[in-house]
Amino acid sequence: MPEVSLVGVSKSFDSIIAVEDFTLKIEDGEYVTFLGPSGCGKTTVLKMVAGLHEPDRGEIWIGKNPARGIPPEDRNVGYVFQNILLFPHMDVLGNVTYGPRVKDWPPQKTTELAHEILALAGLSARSKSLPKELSGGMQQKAAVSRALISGASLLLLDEPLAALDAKVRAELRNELKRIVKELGLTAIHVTHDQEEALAISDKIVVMKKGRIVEVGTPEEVYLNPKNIFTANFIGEANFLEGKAVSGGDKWEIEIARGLKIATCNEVPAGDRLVIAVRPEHIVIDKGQRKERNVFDGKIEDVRFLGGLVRFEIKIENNLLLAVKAPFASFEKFPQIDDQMTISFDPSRVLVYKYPERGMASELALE
Amino acid sequence: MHEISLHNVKKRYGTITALDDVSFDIEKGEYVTILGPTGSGKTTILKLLAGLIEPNEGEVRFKGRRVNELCPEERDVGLVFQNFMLFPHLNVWENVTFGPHMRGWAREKTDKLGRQMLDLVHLFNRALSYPNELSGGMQQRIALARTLTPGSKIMLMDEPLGALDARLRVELRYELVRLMKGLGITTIHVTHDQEEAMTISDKIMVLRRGKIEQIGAPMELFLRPRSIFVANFVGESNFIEGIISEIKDSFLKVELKDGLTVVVPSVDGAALGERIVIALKPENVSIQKGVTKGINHIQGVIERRSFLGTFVKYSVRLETGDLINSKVLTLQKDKTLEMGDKSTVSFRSNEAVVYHHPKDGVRRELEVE
Amino acid sequence: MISTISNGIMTSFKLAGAVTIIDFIAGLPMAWLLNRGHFKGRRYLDTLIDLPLVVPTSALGFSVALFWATPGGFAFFFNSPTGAITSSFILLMLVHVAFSYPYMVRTLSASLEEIDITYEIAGRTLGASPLTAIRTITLPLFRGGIVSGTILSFGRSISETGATVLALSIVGASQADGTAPVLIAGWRKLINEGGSMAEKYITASAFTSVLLIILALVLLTLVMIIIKKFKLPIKKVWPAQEKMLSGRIFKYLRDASSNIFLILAVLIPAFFIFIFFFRGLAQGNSLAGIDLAGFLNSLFASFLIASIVTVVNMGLGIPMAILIARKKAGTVTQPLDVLINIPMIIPSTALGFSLGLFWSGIGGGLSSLANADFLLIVLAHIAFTYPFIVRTVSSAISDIDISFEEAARTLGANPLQVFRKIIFPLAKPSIMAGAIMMFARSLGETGATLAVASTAVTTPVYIVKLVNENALFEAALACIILIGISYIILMGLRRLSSGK
Repeated sequence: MPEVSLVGVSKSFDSIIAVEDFTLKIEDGEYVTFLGPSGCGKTTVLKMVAGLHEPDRGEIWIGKNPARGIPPEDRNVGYVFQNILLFPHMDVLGNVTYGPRVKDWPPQKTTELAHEILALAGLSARSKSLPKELSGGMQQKAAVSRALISGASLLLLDEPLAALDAKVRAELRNELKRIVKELGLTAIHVTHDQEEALAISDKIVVMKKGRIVEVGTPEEVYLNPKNIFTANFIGEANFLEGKAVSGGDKWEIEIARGLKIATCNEVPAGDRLVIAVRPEHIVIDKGQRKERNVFDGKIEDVRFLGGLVRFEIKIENNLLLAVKAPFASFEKFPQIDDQMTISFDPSRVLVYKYPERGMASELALE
Repeated sequence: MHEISLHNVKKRYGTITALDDVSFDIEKGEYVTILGPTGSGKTTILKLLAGLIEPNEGEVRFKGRRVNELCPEERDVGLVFQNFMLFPHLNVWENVTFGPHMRGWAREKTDKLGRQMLDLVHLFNRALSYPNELSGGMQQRIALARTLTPGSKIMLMDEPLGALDARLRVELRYELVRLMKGLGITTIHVTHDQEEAMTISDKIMVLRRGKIEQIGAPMELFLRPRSIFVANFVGESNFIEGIISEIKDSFLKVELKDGLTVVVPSVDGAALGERIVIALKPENVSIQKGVTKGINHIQGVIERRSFLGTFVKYSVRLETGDLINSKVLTLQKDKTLEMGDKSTVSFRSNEAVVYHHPKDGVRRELEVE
Repeated sequence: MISTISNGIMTSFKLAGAVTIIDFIAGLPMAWLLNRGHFKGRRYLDTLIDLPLVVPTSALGFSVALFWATPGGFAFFFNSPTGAITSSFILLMLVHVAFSYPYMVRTLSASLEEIDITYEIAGRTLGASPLTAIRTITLPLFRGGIVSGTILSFGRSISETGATVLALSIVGASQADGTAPVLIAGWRKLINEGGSMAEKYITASAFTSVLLIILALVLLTLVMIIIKKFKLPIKKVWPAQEKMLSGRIFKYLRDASSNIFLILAVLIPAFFIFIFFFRGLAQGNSLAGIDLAGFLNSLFASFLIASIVTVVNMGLGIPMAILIARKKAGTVTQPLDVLINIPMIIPSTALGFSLGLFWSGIGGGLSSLANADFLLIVLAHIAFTYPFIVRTVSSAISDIDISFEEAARTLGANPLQVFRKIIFPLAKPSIMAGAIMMFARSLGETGATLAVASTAVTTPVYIVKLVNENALFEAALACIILIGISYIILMGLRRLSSGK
């Protein structure tokens, strides 16, 4: 059940910087996700922990031992691949027992362990099946069993659910967490799917272009993202640009002439700023007129999302805000062109400095 | 006259039946998603519509006219692939103007259309780039532009966003539907992602093992699913089983276990003593800490708490032994419930949907793979 | 007679068998090096291996035989009065290995490329040393490649005539001690001379041909079955030893020995002819007495035949390749695929002989045609090069995602447009490679030419004639010119295909 430390880790391929100055401490028994768009370097870091690449600079410790120079087969980590990669010419049992067999463990012990882990994963009935006879979800569970049987205490997962249907993904991610927690493992899970990260992580590491953007628990990165990129990448956010009101309330931000947003924090004067509000934190004003952050507007777009309704409302100055409200909160389902009053609590307003390279560059996903 | 229709179509590959007596109609300008698990036959439907394969039985009709025998190049239908399929040896401009070129249209007309479509997707400045120089999202937009240039009014899309990152998918899906609607195009969009389907469709067609389970607007499929499969596939559902103990007008009293009954809407053909299944959307399951009494209130213990951003999802082990999920909007200020807490779940009668118990059991009925 | 025939057949099979095994043992590590190795000169190594393919086999054989069996070659370093090798069988092995080795390496390498290397990585994360991972995971997945490589190497060796004839001549052995194709080629000459023995020789040729074909087919089918069913010992592991063998030192040893083999057994012997020629010049051999006209005529004939064959086969083969790749022929597709491969396995000499028999049987009228011989040679060459283009192109087309065609068709392209605009451009490298292989194959072919009409003189046949007359110097010159021109044309073709 090791802790994992990375200090100043950097890696380039030819002239392309894949990972830069990556420093992170993962506690024993934590389930950590590396979350970010394709190409952000998350898989490269994972591979360095596994020993499939060596860092150009920086050090990695697994447990108390420095990992440099130790080849993958000697690191005792379990690795699960995006493409599953069960050996097509061996059945489930053959795949799962591959590790112990290749290390020449006593066959009796191997078989015992295999049956234990297959039972844990719920695959006992399929031990003689070939990979191609199994569904995607079962294949991946078999792959996880294979990775864990040798008693690895660190599990590395490289986009393990990406190749599966949406429905199967949702089910399997809970299974993964369960298995990891039951065995008391430390896990590092790489994904580009923010919902996945939120659902199962103890800690999320948000990455972009080879660097760590932010680290926090799911609640932290969702409710209090320290960064515009995080605010946009995890969940949805409305962004409005403005600056501190000169000569006015120190808590207010002026978006346009006469259009002010009240926040809960003191705003540095003179700076160009960006405020963010999540759509579900904008509520429909039903006549209990709040004082601050109340706006009238016209509905431009309505979408039924199941438990929620998402609509876009155009308020003054042609600003478009996305709003998510529970379906149950409507007596009459909103239509396009309906008039509506919305408001949001100042405590829900996130304030950021305007990014140097502009909003488009900051929010870019590719 | 329907823009597109399938009549009693059957398609077999060897001994495997991919489509089993499928019929549906699509009106002009509609955005329809075909939703179903892998292997349900969704791509087969697209290929039949495109003319890449022929049905073993049944008819494909465009505007009332039978088109079974028409080959793809004669059907004037656009097809977008999950992996974009941009021709790697041609640059963006050549890809986008490919359709008009093949049809031998005049140079001026082709150039004008090419320019128009690339502007529509904001990528005219990359006209000379090659596909492998573009990002996934850009390739997706070029693939769209390419299919739009010939001016087809029917667009078929096979998991068009499947190859993109999750966050990008969410962003692009709105762009996609706006683009199609803006051009007045009838669209059939295949996906296995029900959230995507719900967000952008006029109508959703749920497909399973080659058969249509239900066709309807997103709201209808979500609130009034006609089968257990649809109830679970579109927006997931909790399932509780019980026995009818009383039938009263349009409501049923159902006994979940000794002394514990709930009140739910009735279902056709309900009989006393019959086993039935109650489906509840997690969004419609309320949860409170501690013990509260009332109609449709059940005690339980919280087994798992997942933070999902907009929602928090609680998995509660009920006193009946069932495990059900409750989805609650995230409220930071209120006291949150923790794992292990004793709690009460409750629901409103009219939000439950009732089904006769399937003969193979609920688990089999829900199987996705 | 019977004993001669059976000796010939035995020699053919023993030779082909030994050569295939050597090719495999030496070729496998080389294929690995090409495919998985990361080093700067990889592209050059790639081209080097293809070099022998470009050289017509008789020229190649001539050079190799000179290197090993004459005092001026390898023996030079030991100051030996005779060549380094005096046994005809060993010499033949060395000659055959030189031209069949590239086939083995290419096939193994292509097959290796199709296996996702991440399987091995998965194995390593599970604790397997690199060698164990390769042995237990990649090799079992690799059987198809091993089968193809074996068939190609074996087929090449069993079929070869020209180089074999030359080698026997140089080492001073009798043609009657040769392989079966050599015997058939020899008899053809005797048949043409007519006389009472002609009948006997025709029967002998026919019998030998048939026997060769049947035995080759049987043996190769057996090999295919065995390789596919053979259970590699993947259950047993030797962790400690295999880990050691995976170490750096062994890797260097493996790579070094592969390269040494390539250089010593293939490249140097193959190009020794240049040294031989220039040494001859230095020693005063003059170019004066060379029959330039005869040589140029043979060159013209060879290139003409090769060109016609290539063009015709492209026209015939590409549609067939599409048919097979896209499985458009329904249930006939699989058997059709197998049938097409047969001319590749059947010794070309036997093929040529049966063709000659077939056509002359059809009507004396045809064989009295002025250009009958020429036509027959072209037909024979078409027959045995056909599989090359079909195989290469059909595998290239299967590699092209069919969705590209679907996309093009829904955009309005009819099937012909789809071929011109999509399939052809994407498959062009393979089509060109197939064309190049066909051209080279036809250019270098000796056996079939001799078996069909030994009076016709293509350059390989011309070279054989020169060697028989012991005009080694002139033969060397002819070889060099042949190599030079082939090389230029082939490089030109390659440039064309990548340039467009």
